[in-house]
Amino acid sequence: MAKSNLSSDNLIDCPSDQLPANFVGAALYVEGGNPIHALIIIKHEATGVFEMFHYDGGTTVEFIQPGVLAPSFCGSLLHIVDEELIPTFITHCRIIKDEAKPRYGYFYNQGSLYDAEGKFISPNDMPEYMSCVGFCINVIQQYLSDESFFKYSDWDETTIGKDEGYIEQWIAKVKKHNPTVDEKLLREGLRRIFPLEYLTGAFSDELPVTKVFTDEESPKLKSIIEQRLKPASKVA
Amino acid sequence: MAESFLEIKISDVSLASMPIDVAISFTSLVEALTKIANLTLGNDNLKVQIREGSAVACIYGTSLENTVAEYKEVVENRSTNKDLVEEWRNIQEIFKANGLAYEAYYNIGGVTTDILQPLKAAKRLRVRASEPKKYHTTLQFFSGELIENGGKRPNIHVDIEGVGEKTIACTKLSAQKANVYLYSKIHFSAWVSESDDDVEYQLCDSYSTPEAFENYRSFINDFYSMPLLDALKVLHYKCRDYLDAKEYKRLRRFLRLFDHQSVDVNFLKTILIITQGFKEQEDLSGIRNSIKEKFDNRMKAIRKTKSNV
Repeated sequence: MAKSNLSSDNLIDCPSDQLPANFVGAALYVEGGNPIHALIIIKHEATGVFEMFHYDGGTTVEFIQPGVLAPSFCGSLLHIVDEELIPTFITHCRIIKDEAKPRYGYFYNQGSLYDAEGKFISPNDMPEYMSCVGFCINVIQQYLSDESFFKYSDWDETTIGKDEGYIEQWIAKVKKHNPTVDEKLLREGLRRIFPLEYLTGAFSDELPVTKVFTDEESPKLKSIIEQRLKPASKVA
Repeated sequence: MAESFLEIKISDVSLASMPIDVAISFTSLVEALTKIANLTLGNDNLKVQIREGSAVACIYGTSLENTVAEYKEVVENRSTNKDLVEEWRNIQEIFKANGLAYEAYYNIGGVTTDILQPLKAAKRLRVRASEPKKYHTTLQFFSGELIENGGKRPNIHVDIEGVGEKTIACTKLSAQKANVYLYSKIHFSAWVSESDDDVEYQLCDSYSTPEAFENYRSFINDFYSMPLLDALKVLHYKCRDYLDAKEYKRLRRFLRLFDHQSVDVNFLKTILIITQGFKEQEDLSGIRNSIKEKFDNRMKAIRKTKSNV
């Protein structure tokens, strides 16, 4: 299994003074103690940027101020996005914001990404469906030329955790909007990487991140988050 | 004996009768110390002494403190004085090489400090590499009369309006092409690299019409006046416009404005990303490779600096 960089020190509250001056990270919003939403956090001192970039699960791709979705926690992705190239990354996100039109689904097709034009590219012309985690992965994947962020084959339809009726309904909806889509290929892309797993992946020192790694480390990450959220830990 | 002195002693030998190998070592030590004294800053009062009582070679005088200060720089590999380092290295090699019994020390203000052990323990003494000059480079646009062309290193000489005669480094091909314009007015862009005491010019591109010159000049002026993130977006869409129109030669011309090691890595990266799909395109592959090489070198240097911190 890959070595883990997960520790309480490496899990950063966002926003907080602990964030370095220049930073790109995987971020996780926790609501009612549940890790429910994935974002990308970007901070760059020289350009004054300090924002979170996300897909809200509906029709909106946007930048929001850190603190709007709180509490949130993040882990560094500077092993994927060079600190020197954060301005390029910010520009790419801004272009994606103008171009992306995602729709919600527990779907990620291996090899998909948002390209330099902000256009969604997917092998076999799969349509632009994704979860909040899938959106973050599609953004970050552009920066990984020869490798995948996650080992997607480790996650399949069974990871969605919904009944067959839900899945059939979703496939029908996708086919209605995309009549020529190959249903078999669509099914092969059904998978759900949970927001907690996404943040866990930031702490793997190897790519692609495997499910063995996230299965091992996600409970530890959850435990650290729970400790942080306890009222006693907030005392100065 | 003066209060301040530095001496090297070969024990158990007499000046009156030395074995040849000892004499070779001793004369080398005397020669090295003499040269070190000569190289010492403010050395007027330094004297060299050879005396009996074992075989002793010594330099002494009130300037010895300078000699000692310079010795410390040498043994810590902080000295940039090539000649001085060479003489101390000669002494070091003698100490390390043969089995003679040496003593070596300096005495300042009555305090004796050994120099034998530090010299024997140190790695081979070397000159500290001097700090590379720091340059600030900008892309500037000029007009002027081409007055001379050529040289051992390819360059053109231009009497630049408002500036004066300058030597502009260029490629052989550019110098050859420039021949046609000798004693004519030319319009060109150049990378101007300024350090504390030096200004260097390197040709970027030349323009056959004042209109083309002005177009590129005003673009670059506006471009570098913008905030970085706005400039990145402008660069992205400018390249995109050329590619969508299949104007690959014009894009190549435009990319010359960014083909330099001083250009921000984010600009270089943006160009590489947007032209990724055209890396084999015959009009673009050359300049793209040139930009990629500069980007890769810059990122290598940045990562090396970070790993040394």
